[in-house]
Amino acid sequence: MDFWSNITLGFSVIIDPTNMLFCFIGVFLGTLIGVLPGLGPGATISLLLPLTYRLDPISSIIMVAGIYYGAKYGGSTTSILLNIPGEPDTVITCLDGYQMARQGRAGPALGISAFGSFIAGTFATLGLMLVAPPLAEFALRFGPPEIFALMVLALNLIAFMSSGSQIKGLAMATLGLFLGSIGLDIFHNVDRFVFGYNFLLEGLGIVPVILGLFGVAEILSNLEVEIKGKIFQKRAPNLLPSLKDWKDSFWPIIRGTVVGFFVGLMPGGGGIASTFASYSIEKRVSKHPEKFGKGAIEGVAGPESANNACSGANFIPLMTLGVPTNGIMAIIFASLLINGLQPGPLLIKNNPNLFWGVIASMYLGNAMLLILNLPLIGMWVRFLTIPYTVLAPMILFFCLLGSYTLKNSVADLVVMLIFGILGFLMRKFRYEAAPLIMGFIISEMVEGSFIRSLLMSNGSFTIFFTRPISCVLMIVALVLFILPFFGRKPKVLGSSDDEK
Amino acid sequence: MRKFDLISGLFLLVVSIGICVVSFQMEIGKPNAPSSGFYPLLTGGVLGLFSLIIIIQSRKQDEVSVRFWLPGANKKAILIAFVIILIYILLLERMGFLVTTVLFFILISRFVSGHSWKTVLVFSFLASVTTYIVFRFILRAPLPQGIFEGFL
Repeated sequence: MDFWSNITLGFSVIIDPTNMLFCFIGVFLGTLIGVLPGLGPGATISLLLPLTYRLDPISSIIMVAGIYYGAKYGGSTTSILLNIPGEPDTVITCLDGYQMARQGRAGPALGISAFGSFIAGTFATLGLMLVAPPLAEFALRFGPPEIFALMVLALNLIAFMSSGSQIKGLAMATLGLFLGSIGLDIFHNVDRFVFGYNFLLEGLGIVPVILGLFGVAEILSNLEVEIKGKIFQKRAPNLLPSLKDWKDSFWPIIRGTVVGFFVGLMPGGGGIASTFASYSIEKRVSKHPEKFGKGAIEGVAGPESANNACSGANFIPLMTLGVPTNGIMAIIFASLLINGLQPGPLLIKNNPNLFWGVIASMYLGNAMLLILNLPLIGMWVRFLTIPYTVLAPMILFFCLLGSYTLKNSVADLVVMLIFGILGFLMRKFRYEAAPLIMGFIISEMVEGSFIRSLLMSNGSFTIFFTRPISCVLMIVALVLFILPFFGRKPKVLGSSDDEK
Repeated sequence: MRKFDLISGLFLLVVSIGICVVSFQMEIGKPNAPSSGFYPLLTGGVLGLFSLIIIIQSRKQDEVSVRFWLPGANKKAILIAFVIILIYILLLERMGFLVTTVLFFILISRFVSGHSWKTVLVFSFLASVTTYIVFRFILRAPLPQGIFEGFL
């Protein structure tokens, strides 16, 4: 099929009223959880995983994608009005966005944030459409050694880009790889680490593990402190940026889009990294760097565009190589698996309806988000008044319900609780959940490609270094592993998006 | 942070040793014919290596005072939430979804969120019945009936 027939196919999928409805539900929920501090896209998508199991796969992935990029729109609202980042990606927006609100310019800040997000999101979707198919075609040449090397590189990158210690990130990724090996070994038909508990034969459930690490751990952490903030401008009447605002924001939006897109392509390329990179660039190229932090619209336009471009680009490695780039993409990876779809080079070829349908939904979703985030801003501000004491019991309950209803198993609830406590302790001891989740989810692929590579080479580990693509990937992974020991780890880069 | 890293590093080291010991009890095989214990053994070994690096790095760190709990932390709320989840898990299949869920919301809204009894009762009843109707009749999820088996 040629390019245009693929696009036509995508739009024929999204004009289906059911898919359109789920696209709307996704972006609506995304904006909502973006607005509400204390509930992130990771936890929300995890909560919905059991539900997606019951839906048509295309509708559920359209909805899940909508939550992911929708949260980026909503996150800026709390940063600007409340000085509390609704999402970790919007931390940097607090700097100038909140200052603009204090100066009575919340409207233009919210407006440029929504327009910038729309422009960046649309361009990123265009990039996804153009880059993904040839990349998937290229990845079809990958054999087991290349796949293994790619997975090793992806885990290294996630740990490298994390805000904390790289070694801790790698330790969590390795623990995740081990946890993924629990259950029946499909290669040898032998059970591993089951210890007589039959429910473990199928392995640890993805849903209870994710809900524990993201949902329960998040609630327990939030219960420790009370979230408070002062809304500076409850009404933002003049949302349309002035001509001068547009002039000041034009290039920051373009630069933010480009930076965000390329950061998003890299495994480990979370939204925070793209926003910090965009902010630094804007401050560096500005003729008035002293205005940054005091209400410069460029400091809002650039990062807000970057994180939306990043979220679109994040889908490229997932859909083409089967590599989730951060914790939330790992959860989306899980939702594809739950729906019987294998992310990777064959996804586009075998499921063109899904791939092109999701792309078309992103165009529509971004347009819906612009409408949701501009005229309806007052409604989102009102949501900010919902106390966490009401939200917390509901979220906790949905974690319990989500874990139980997938298999009607109390054992899954126990697994969820154990991982909830583990996630809580990990936060306390400064370990990130994203590498663990990633390792856990891709463990089967890692083991499969590793074992097949060894069988191909008659047990020689040099196979990973004798084939050009895997050799390059392994060397890059090795360099990334060694760099921090020489003090070369970038300090500014944020963590993967699992923090919320 | 030094103490935290030391404790967590030691914990991970113990976990990695456990993984290796259990892996050795399985068939390991050889690199040219890896068996079921090969991959877990490898992950256990690599985890052990990383945990040793964490321990060594913790010894080199300057002692920075970091407390486990934040100042004014609501430890009681966390503990109560944990106990309530545990109660929910224990009672769900015995008492049934509806009764356990009402109890869950009552306990958590009152003792964790600190709402008034009037709010607690209204919120718990509405939340439980709404979710029951949505999951049981709209999403057709088979929820445990417990003591109401045959009535609902």
